[in-house]
Order: sequence, then C-alpha cells, then structure tokens
Amino acid sequence: MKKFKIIIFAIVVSFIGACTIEEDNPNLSKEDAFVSLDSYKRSLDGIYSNMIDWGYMGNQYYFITNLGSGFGWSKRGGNRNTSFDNLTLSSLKPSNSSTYVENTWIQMYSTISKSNDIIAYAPPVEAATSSEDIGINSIIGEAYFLRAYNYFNLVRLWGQVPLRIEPTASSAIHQQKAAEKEIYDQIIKDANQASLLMSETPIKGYPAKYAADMLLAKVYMTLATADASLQDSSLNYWQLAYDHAINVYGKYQLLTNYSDLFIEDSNDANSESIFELQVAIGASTDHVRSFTASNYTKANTFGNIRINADVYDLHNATYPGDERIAATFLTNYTQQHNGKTYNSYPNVTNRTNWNGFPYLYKLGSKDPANMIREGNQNVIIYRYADLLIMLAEISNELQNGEALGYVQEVLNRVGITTPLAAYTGGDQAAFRNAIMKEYQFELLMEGHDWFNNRRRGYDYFLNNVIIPHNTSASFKAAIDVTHETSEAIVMKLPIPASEINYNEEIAN
Amino acid sequence: MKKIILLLLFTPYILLSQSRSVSGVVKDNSNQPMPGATVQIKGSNSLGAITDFDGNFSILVDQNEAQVLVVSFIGFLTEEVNISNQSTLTVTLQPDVSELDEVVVVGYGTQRKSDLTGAISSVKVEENIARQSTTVDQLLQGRAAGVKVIQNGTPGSGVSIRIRGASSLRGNNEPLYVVDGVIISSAGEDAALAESDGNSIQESQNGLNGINPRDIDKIEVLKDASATAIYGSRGANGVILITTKKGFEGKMKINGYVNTSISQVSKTFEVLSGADYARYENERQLNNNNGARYQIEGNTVYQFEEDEDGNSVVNPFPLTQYNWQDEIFKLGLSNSVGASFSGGSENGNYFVSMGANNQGGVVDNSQFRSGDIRINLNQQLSSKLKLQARISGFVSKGMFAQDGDRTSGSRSFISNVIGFRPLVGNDGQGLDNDLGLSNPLSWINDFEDNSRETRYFANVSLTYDLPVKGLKYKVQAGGNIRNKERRRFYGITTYQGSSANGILAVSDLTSQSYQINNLLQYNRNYNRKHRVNAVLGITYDVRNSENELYELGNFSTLQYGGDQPQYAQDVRTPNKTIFFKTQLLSYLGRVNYTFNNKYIFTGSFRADGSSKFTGDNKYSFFPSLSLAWRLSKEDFFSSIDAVNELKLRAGWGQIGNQAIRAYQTAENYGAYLYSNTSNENIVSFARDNIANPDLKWETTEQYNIGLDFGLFNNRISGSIEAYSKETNDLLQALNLPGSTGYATLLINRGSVGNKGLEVSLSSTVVNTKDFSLDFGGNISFNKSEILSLGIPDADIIMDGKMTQKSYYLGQNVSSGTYFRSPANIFVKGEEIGLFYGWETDGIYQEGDDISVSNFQAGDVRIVDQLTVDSDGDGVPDTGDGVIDNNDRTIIGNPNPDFIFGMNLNMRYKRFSLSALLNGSYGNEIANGNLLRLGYAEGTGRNVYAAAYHNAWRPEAPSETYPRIGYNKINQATSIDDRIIEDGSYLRLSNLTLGYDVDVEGVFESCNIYVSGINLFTLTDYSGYNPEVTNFLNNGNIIGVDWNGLPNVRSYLLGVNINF
Repeated sequence: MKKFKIIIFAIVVSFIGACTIEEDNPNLSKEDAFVSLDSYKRSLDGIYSNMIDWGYMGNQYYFITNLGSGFGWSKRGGNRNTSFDNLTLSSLKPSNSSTYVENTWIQMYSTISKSNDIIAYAPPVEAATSSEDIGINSIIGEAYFLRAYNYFNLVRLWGQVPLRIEPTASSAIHQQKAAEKEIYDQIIKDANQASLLMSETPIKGYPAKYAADMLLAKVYMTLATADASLQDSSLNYWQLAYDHAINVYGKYQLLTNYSDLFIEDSNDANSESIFELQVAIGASTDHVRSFTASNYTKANTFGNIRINADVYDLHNATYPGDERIAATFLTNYTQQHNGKTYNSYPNVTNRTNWNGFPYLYKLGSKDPANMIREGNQNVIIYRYADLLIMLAEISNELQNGEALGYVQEVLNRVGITTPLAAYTGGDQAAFRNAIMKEYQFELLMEGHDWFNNRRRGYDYFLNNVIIPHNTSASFKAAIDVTHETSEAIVMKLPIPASEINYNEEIAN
Repeated sequence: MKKIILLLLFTPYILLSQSRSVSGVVKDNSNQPMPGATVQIKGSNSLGAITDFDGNFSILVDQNEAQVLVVSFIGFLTEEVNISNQSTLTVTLQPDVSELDEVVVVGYGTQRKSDLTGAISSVKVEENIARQSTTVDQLLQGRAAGVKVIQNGTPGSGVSIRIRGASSLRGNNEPLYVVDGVIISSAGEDAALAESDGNSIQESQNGLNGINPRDIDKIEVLKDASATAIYGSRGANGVILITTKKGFEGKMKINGYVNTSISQVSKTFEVLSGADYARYENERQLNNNNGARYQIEGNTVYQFEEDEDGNSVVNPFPLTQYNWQDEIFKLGLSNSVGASFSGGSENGNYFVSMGANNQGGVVDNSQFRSGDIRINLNQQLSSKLKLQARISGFVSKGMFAQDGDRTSGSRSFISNVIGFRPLVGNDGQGLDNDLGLSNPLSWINDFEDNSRETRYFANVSLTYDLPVKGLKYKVQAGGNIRNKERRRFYGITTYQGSSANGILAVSDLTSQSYQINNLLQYNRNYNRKHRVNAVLGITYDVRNSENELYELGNFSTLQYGGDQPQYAQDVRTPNKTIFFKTQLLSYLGRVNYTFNNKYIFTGSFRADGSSKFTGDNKYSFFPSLSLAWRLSKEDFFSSIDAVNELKLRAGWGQIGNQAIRAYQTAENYGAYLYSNTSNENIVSFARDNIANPDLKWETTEQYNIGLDFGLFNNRISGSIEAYSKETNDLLQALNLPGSTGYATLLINRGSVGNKGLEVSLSSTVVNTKDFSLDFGGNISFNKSEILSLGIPDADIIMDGKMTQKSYYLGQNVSSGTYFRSPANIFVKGEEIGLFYGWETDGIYQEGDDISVSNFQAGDVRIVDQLTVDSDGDGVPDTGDGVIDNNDRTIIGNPNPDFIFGMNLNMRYKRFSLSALLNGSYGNEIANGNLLRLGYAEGTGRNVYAAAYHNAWRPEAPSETYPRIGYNKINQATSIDDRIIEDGSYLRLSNLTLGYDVDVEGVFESCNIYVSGINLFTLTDYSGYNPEVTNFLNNGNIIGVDWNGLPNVRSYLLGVNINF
C-alpha cells in the first residue's frame, strides 16, 4: 500500500508543478513588427497588400471611379439599364448600401489604420545617417504619404468623414465626422511630412518623394476651385500646385508605346510610373476576372465595366485614329468558348442591346489563352502623363506660357503632332475645357475620372459630362442610363449604411 | 459456473430437510432475462437465491412452510408470487417508474437521485433510437424540458443545442459536453474555411462526431446554476454529462444489430416549369419593350437567336426542360451494422463495441461513412484500488453536396437547384454542352467537399480508498485527439472554379485536449440520519488546436479533381496555420448533505484560472447553493396515499462563459501577400485585431425553483421548474464601423436575462404482462430580455412611433446583392434578435396616391414611417417621402413562445410502438429564399410559380406579388416583413414499430423494427425546413434561413439480436 501512496503523492506534486495558465501567444506582435529595416518594410508592404484588396484597388474602387464618373455602364447583375448598378452608381445616384460604397470605405480606412500603426509605433530616427535609419525614415514617410493619399480619396468621395490618425484602440470606436477643412489640413501636413522623409531613390516599385509632390499638386488643384469655406484667401492655390508639380517634372519619362502601360510584362515599375501597386499571381487584384470582356479569354471573366457610347464618340471625334482608342476600348474579338466573333459599338451601330457599349480593355487580361482569374498587371495610380496634363492645366490657369508644351509631350507619344485649335488659339477658357477632356483621353478609367469630372464643381460636371451624355446623338433610352442632375445627389457618395449602423457618432 | 456454485451451496439442504425445489426465470417488462435479481421466501430470514445470467434461479422451500416468494431488483417493483402449486415459474418484474434511488451522475461525482437539489434532466437512452442515430444530439431531441436541438437530417451536418435559451449574445451557446468525466469542448468546432474568396462560407459540420450514441448508457442534462457551477467559467450554457456503457458480472453478452434505410427530401419548392418560365421571360422582355426570347408552341419552347447580321431567328431545336429539384434530389440509401460484447467477473468488467455506418445523402455526391470502436474496462486492482479505462476511436469519410456561399446566386448549390433556369439549350448534338456555368449538375459532377476525420478518446482513472472511511482519492487523465481534413474542390464548370481553372481549398484541423482531474471524494452515512457526499478537486485542462489552410488553383489536369493537388500550378493561399492554445487551472469543491432523508443542502464552488485573460481577470470564482425538502417524507404527508414523492427544490448559483478565441487581449499581426517588381510574392505584416486587455468571462447568475412529484404509485411522475437567469458582462463581437479599419471587436458589455418555466411529465397508463402504455411529454417556456447594452439611446421606430432606445443591429446576412442587410436588432427591454426592417402593406395599385419617390404602381407598398415633425410639437407625424433605413421598425421575433416534446411507448405482447414528436411554437423565421424566389424580378433565374402567375399586372392588379421586373429587393438596404414567416411546427420525428421474434433456444432475443423518421411536419413555413440550421454559431444572425438545406424523411428497417 505504501507504494501506492508514494505514487499518488508523486502524481499530485508533479501535476501541480506542471500547470501553467500563462498565455503562450504564437502570433507576431507589435514588438516583432517594427525591429529592423526589413520588418518595417514588411509592415509597409502590409499597407500595400491592403490596397490591392478586392474591396479597394483590386476591384471595388474601379466601379466607384468608373461608373460614378458618368462614363461607365455596368454589366453586373444583368445586362440591362435597370440593373441595380445602372440604376444607382452609373446613373450618378449611388446607394449607401452598395457593395462599392461600403467596401471602398472600409478598405480605405483599413489602409489608414495600418498607416497609423506605423506612424505611431515607429517614430522617425532623428538625424539619420546609416542606410538602415534612412531606410526606416523613408518607410515612415511612405506611411504618411499613404495616409494622406487615402484621406484625399475619402474627402473627395464623401466630403466630411471621421478623421482617425491614431492606432485604433478599443477605447476609440465611435467617432464623428470631421470638417472637410480639417481633413485637407491633415492631408497637407502628412504629405509634407512624407515629402521630407521619403527617399528620392526608393526601392524599385515603391514611390519616391516626388509622389508626395504630385499628391500635393492634386490637393492644391482641388482646393483652387473648391468651395470658399475650404480655402485660405491668402494662398494662391494654382501657384502652390505648380510649385509641387514642377518638382516632379523631368524626374520620369513617358513610355514609348502607350499600350505598353497596360501589358503585364512592361508595366512593372516602368519609367512613367510615379505611384503604383505591385501585383502578381498570388498577390493579385481581381481585374482579370472582373474587367476582362466575357469570353475574351478561356477563363470565366465578367467584363463588368463597359463604356458609354458618347465617351467613345468624343474621343474618336477629337482625335480620330488615336492609338489610345484601341488600347482603351475593346470592340471586337474572338470569343474563346465558341470561336465566334463578338462585336460591340461602334462596330455594331444600331445599339439595340448591350452590344451598344464597348468593353474596357485597359484593366483586364490581354491574353486570350489565359485560364485563370489572376494576373500580374500592376495598378498604376499616378503616372507621368497625368502630371504633364496637370502642369498644362495649372500653367493655363497661371497663364505662364508653359501650358501647350506639357500637353504636347503627352500627345507626341501617340503621334498627334498637331495640337487642337483650343490649345493654340490663346483663349484661356477654351484651353481649360480642352485640357479637362485631355485627362479623359489619356487616363480613361484609370481611377481619375470621378475626381476630374467633379473637381471644377457641379456646374462643370453638369454641363460637360451629365448633359452631354443625356443628350448625346447616340443615346438610346432603352439601353442607356440617364444621369441624375441634382447637385445634392451627384457630387458625393452617401456615408455607407454600415458606418451609420455601427458608429454611434454618425447619424447620416 | 455460478450455477454450479449455487448447486453446491444448496446440496446440504437437499440432504438434510424436507424440502422441495422451486425453479424459474425472472424477466423484465421487455422480456429480457434479469441476472442478479433476489429471490427470497416471504417471512424467512434466509439468504434466498440470486438469479444467474440467464435470469434463472432455483430455491429450496420447506414443503410445509409459507408458499410465497418475494422477487426484487433495484429499480423494479418488488413482486410476490404464490408458489403453492408450482415448481417452475416465470416472474416478470415491472420497472419502478420513480426510480428514486437511482444514482445520477453529477459534475465530478455521482449522487442518489433523491438527494439532488439542482435542475437535472436524466435522459433515458432508447436503444432503438440510439441504433438509428449517428450523433448524440438525436438522442436529446424532444426528450428533456428546456433543451432545444437544432439539426438537419443531412449526413454529417452541424447541430446546435440550446439549454434554457441563449444566455450570451456572442453566438456559440453550445453546452459543455462531458463524456465519462472528461470535458469535450469541440461542439461547434470545425475545420476553418480555406477559400480565399471572401464570400465563401462552408456549411458547418458536426463537432461531436465520435461520441457514438449506441455506446451511451445515460445522459444527464445539468440545467441550472446550482448543478453547473462546479463547471465554473464554462457552465453557463448548461452541461451534458454522457456516461458510456459498462459490462456486468456474468457471462459474455453479445448484441448485434443491422439496419438499413432510405431517405428522400421531405419538401420541394414549386417553381416555374420550362414553358411557364419562357412565358415569364417573354413577358419581362415585352415590358422592357424588347423582343421575345422564346417561341412557345404548346409546351415546347424554342429559342430566338441572333444571326451574324444581328437579326432574330428561331433555333429549330427545342429547348430541354428540367425540374431541377426532381433531377438532383434522389433517394438516399443508408445502412449501419454493429455489435457489442460485454461481461465481467467479480473484479472487473468490460464493454467492447464496434460499428460501421454508411449514410447516403439525397444528392448523388453526398455520403457519410464512419466506423467506430470502443473498449470500456473496469478492474479492481486491489481491494482498495480500482482502475477504469475508456478508449474509443472513430474514423469517418464524408462527401457533401451542400455548399454555402454568403452571396448566394451562382455560387451556391441550393440556390442553383431551386433557381437555375429550367430551360437548357440544345444544338441537336448533345444536351450538356450548353448547360452553362454553375448549373445544378456542375455541383454534383464538378464539386467536391470531402471530409476525413479520425478521432480518439481515452480516459483512465485510478480510485484509491483512503484509510478514512468513505474517503477516496481519484486521479483521472483523459482527453481526445481529433484530426479533421476538409478539402473542397471547385471544377471549371462551377462559378468559383471557372475563373481560376479549378480551385482546391484544403483545411486540416488537429485539435488535442486533455485534462487531469485530482479529486477527493467523500461519501458517508452517519446513524442513518446524516448523509454527506462531498468532493474536492484540482483540475487542469489544456486545449491545443492547429488549423492548417491552403488554397491552390490553375490545374494542369482536372482529371483528378481535388485528389491530386500536385497538378495545381498556382498557390492562391500559401500554407497558413492558425494556432490556439488555452489552459485552465481550476479548484473545485461540493458538499451535499442530507438530513433525515428530508432536508438536503448542496453547496459548491469553483475557481478558474484561464490563460485567455490577463491581470486581475485571470481568476474567476463561481459559487452555488441549493436546498431541497422532500415533503413526502414528512409525517403530515404520509397519510396521503396518492402522493409517493414530493420534493421542493431551490437553488442559486453563478456560472460563467469564456468560450472566446485565445489571444484577444493582445494585438496580433498576421501575414498578407504583396509582391515585388519581379512578380514574386512577398509576405508582409499587418495588424489583425484591436486588443482588448480588459476582457473577462461573462457571468450568469441563476435562480431555480423546482418541484418533483410522483403520484399514484409513481405511475405519474414529473417535475416543474421555474428559473430566472441574468448574464452580465456579455462577451460580444461588437460590429465595428468601417472607419475603425476593423470589422469586429470582442468586448464585455451589457446584460441579458432569461426567465422560464419547464414542465415535464411521464406516466405509465397501463402496465400489464401483455400490454403497456407509457406517455411522456415536456414543454418549456423561455423569455429572454436584453437588460442593458451599454449603448446610448438613439432614434428607433417601434409600434409606429419614433422613440429613443438603446440598441444595436445584427450582421449583414449576405455579402452579395440580396439580403445585404442585417435581419436582427438587439433592443434594450426586448427579446434577443428581433427582426428589423420595413413594414409593407400590399402592392401599389394604379391610381393610388404614391407619396414616396421612386415607386410606381405594381411595386411593393413599403410603409413610409412617421419620421418628420411637421407641426413642431416634437412628435413625428408624417413620412419623409423616401424609403430608406429610417423607415425600419420591428417586424418579427425569432424566439419561440414555447418548445415541446412528446413521446409515447406502447407494447402489446410481442409488438412495441414508440413515437417521438417535437415542436416549437410562436417563433418567426426570416426566409431569405423568398428574396429571389418570391419576386418575378426578371434576372434570368427561376422563381416561385405563384410569384409569376400572381404577379401584379395592370389588367390583373394583385395585392400579393409585385409587378414583373420589380427589383427593389436587389441591394435593398433592409429586409421587409414579406419574408418574415411563422416558424411554428410540430414534427413526428420518429415512429418505430418493433416485433420480438420468438427465437427461444436460438438467441436470447431478436427484435425487428421499422421506423419512420420525420414522417410529417405540420408547419406554415414555406421554406424547406422550419428548423433553421444556417448561422448556427453566429450571435448576430438569428432565425435566418439563407439557402437552408432541405430536410430528409427516412424509412428504416432494422434487426437487433442478443446472444
């Protein structure tokens, strides 16, 4: 019996000694995420990874900016003008519960939240001299740049939004909307901080400090024509825009072939790219699946975004034979599932059904043999051609005589050597109207149209986009969307229903 | 052997006295021989005899003495038999219905049933039902008051059990399962989703596989806090104690069974036929001023096509018409076979069982196969040391057709079976080439959801009698290892697989849990007046779980489906492992004291230290107290003959819930893919959650009062319980505003109350040798109330008036375009999870004054609630002319008024009949299927026949269905009351007719039975099944049917043989 007692006693003692209730957390912690240049870089990549998410640049952002610009028509949810997308976003009446409005909002803030972590957890190294420290500072600068970029998107799309600049904590869940002025002030502050910290010669594929200048130029251009309540009367916004834009001038160069911008093999970190997101199979966007025309490839793709006929008409009328037309609009191809030819407008002229809309060619796959939905084509957010058009527009406002030179650089690439009369006639207003359309011809559906069409205010949008569409010669009520005209509805997106549902400080 | 000993024992008497021998057999009411029954001569003090393993006895009686034998057995009514003129006889003992001296398993020990003070339901395991069942939940359905079982007849599908309502808003309200003293915390556990597609969800599968119902001896359901407080921070949802079988002393008993069954879906939806569908499409085209799509000649449909020049021509080959539900749903064939061997000697006993089971689903690629084995051993190692060992193993392999997807539409199996267009193109060469993407057949032929599971349970305990009388020390170590792999493959004809050239998602779960219990047990009587039953213990509980996930795509050959992952060329999600480890160190104790068999006191405590919490929240303390008074033992009651037992019980206790994921108090960083300019993937870091260092367990305080009674010789017995519980510091997954950058945050906030009444009754109406009739029933009322939420009041419309309440909304049901809104709301002062949305009032007719914008005649008339205060008196008195989220109000309640179960057992000679009914009354269901089926929206999908035929038309103004082409349901920001339906039902869940074949001399017994499972369901619910199994463990989506699976009806034939 004694033997048993000893055994039992030994069991009890060893048992109590072995017990622990300390949590042994196998996950990466904050302390591990910010230790060396390499781990900082991985945290920065965490922000970029968030930006290529389906909810943002991977898919949903392009619905917002393309359909919501007045240029697009959605194939999603049925090929008809009464589908949900076409009744709402495409006709400029966005719904506060559409996936696009919700997801882009969520993902922009998610990006901001990750930027906030880097900014708060990793203060810049003062008087950095080692390459490690300079590298770290550059990454922190990039976090400021990304925060500014995302708030600039938010404030333009929604107006007043919550301004969160601290890491998200359980104590600060509910927050009210900030005034637009406050948001713009923060954007300018962050972008300036970014410009100070970011490198002039970054790792390939990441933005240099000039991206921050380009962002600031866009911010000042926006403020230049914004409501007086957002402006500081002592500032010359066009001059500020010029000062930053000119910093970027000459730092990049246009690709020789326009269409190479949209080819997987040639678009990675190309000489024209100022700010881009890296995409590869595995870490892919959804562009191939969502934006490749149906049956253009062997893989099942949706061809969700199509282009209004009047957008094609204007481009073709302004620059007939422009090589950018073939790189932008897909109007004719062999269908992979049945070998038959598919034609859309303008090859089909009578526009009786959805053939009345060309597909968007830029974002989808270019390879008919493709079997998968993923792709390697990078997302280029800022490119040099955009900056040149901006410089032309700014210069026209400042009347500094440089305007034509910049726009001609863009046109020369595509073989248009004779400028439009509006550019040479010496009429500032005519130049202005023409240069605003230049963004459309060069950058159609690359994510800028929503902003460029509204930047000069409601009247500009109404008279240059909405009415021309609703009254265009090719317009057909049976298939086309009719754009809403009310200023209260068309200028901003509604705050997403989920934000109103869950944020106790926001009621509408 | 024993017969010989007995014979030897009695030999001297034969020689010495004037005796004669009386022999016979003792059987129980089901004609089974009863070993171990006592046979005595009335009035004699002699030892008497004990029946052997075949129930036989032989006893010597004095030829001249009294001629009455007394036959007794614990748990049975004692029988007196006159033997004056008999020398061989058969004695049948009837069970004592009250079974009051039965021993009941409680937490960390056992108690006499008469000494219980808490609310405990003992569930008798019906052998025939157990043999038909594959999971333990089926044994509980309708059997115990206050226990609600939610399950679906599909093989291997998930189940959920709620005891006394939901005491938490967090979702997983599953009770704690304890098998032979070891906690199994896998209810609701499943291999995580491996698909990278953010819209995917997978149907949950049973987390309790491997607990074989046929091996279960009894089940105790601990319901109130005084019973469950000994399980501390995990006792709040109730505890289900399962005891597996053991062998009995005597020669080996063998039981064998085999059964086979066929199943069919119990209901189908009535959708449009092919020709009607063509008419519907044509009408929609016409309404849009477009040309017809189909040419219809009688019931033959031809399609218009465009030729090269864009002109419309008729394809000369008629389209093939399908009724997809008939096409897809087949008869399922199932069978199971098994055997058990049990026996024992003086020093030990054994129970060994094994079984195999093959369940065929009602869809071709749906099947569940399993095999199990169990060895239970008890052995007395020495006079003071006893060893108990329980070891079981389980393997299963399942194929499942069902696949959920939160977006529904083309991505969901059920949605396509019901809604896929019934017309299929035909080019004259073959049918299948034009079926199109994600047709119902692609889910059968080109989709796999394969599961493999192996699971081992083991549990060994040593009990040592200490030198103090009545004191024992027990050390028990046990646990289980579960490996489950779930592989889902989408071929290129499925929507998911089509864009990636095949997708394979693999999820591999390994979970291990073990416990070490150290218990001091004390059990002693003093002077027959005082009885003490106490336990003191320390337990340590560890649970490890690792879930490996990866996803592959772009297969170079699709020939092997998901079996050969090496043919995948792209890694869509690199191997990702989700780890969890939690530890719990606990100190516990309980004293149960009975005075004079009348007054009973129980007190218990438990202190839990949990790894999930930090700082002061690490340890929590859970006490309980309860009292019982057996009135029937009082002198003033002894004169009332009708009352055999009357016991009043009252208890109080605190229990907790800490069933949250580990590591929530810390900020955790996860891995995300990005790439470099060479198109190589980079693994980046990003924060996954918001840390909440203040997290703690939630505490439920519960009062219970109960009355147990036994009347008329215990022919009627039952109990009535009333309870009130309140849970504070609710653990909630707070839905976060998107601007925080995160989706949810786990917090402690608010409190919820549940009050209820449970009545259970069983009665033996007739009990004679040839005929018996038992009836049992239970009914449970539970009402929940949200007591506080910790959220500031905000505007809400209730009963047509704008008011201010504290509330929050549930989660968006779908991530797609239909049901893209929350269905539930949680309002202070109301029941949990009320339905929230728009009220409707028929259909707008031509000439109606339509005061809201964007609506026309033929649209659904959604009530524009009074939100605008036009006269400035502070009370909104008019609508704002816009239908939006401000017009939402309470439109339904998913909580039942009561649930009930009934059972009936009848025996006539060799026939037996048992029936089991269960049901729910007063709950409503948000039937998401109606969002697509209930509107002739014209999206190229099939709809309810009625939605098209009775659609509003200018010439046929309907008040029930809107116009063809009405599409305000698509991306609606709210649900409306058109999808809220009464979910009450009454179901005959099992009807079994058995016959005892006369096999005397061949076997001991042979029973043949036929059963019908889910023979009928009385309900007004229009969906497949009013027992909704969607979102089982999601506390923010309640009572929502979203592509729920059809229930099955089965017919079963079985044989059970005892050797």
